[in-house]
Amino acid sequence: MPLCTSRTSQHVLAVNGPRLDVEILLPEVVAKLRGRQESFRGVGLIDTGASITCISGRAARALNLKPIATVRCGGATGDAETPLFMVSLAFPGSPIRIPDTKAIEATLEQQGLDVLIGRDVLAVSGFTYDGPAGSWTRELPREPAQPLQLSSPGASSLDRAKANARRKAAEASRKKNRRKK
Amino acid sequence: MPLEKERAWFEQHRAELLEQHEGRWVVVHGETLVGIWDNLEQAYIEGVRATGQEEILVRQVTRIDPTFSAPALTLGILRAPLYL
Repeated sequence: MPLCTSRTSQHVLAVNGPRLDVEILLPEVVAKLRGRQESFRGVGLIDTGASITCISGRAARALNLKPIATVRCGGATGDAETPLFMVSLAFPGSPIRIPDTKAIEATLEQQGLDVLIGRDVLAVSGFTYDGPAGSWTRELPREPAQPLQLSSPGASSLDRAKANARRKAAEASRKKNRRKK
Repeated sequence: MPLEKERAWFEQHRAELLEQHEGRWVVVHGETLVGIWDNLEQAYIEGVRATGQEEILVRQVTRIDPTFSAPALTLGILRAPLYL
């Protein structure tokens, strides 16, 4: 199971937060369409306050990403329309890879960041934060990546039933693996 | 605004789509419905394959559009100083 621990000091972790190198890649289907894979490497921050993963405008431009929708983002001064992209994420030096995930564009460059890893990615991963020890651990993904359904008010009972079935199957598989060990 | 035609098409047909496909994902290219799938990833992959285009609208059929939030980002405190 891919597990990576980052260690720094209590103070540095408190100031910088859980940061890591991230590679933003084209979704596989787009790479095939363009005849080549392209990537943009930058710094990411795990943000449990973000409901969705965000990427910087410079990353979106560098990869010439095309939006698949615009979505409303809640802000301090009201909602704003923001482009939504599909991307894949990889983490240099680790086998962890998140294929075909959604990400909105956000102004991150001024913070020295290119990715905010939100709860949509954390929903299929493990993340522990130990402030006093100045360390944090990521474990992505915990199970073979399953498409994450947005729990919107309109999600059908069929979709909910499918999601429940997937969760139960994953839980059963975890228990089985634990028993084997 | 990107995907203007596609978004207009979706708004025009939202009520109709809700009747039979609530919660599912549609792909629209220009003013054409490419298909309807059960999840975003599948809709996106099949939509790009079917149209040979990256510029497609992929939308979940919902009554209310979801809103996303990233409070630290919108408040500008992703890296606020700890000690002043």
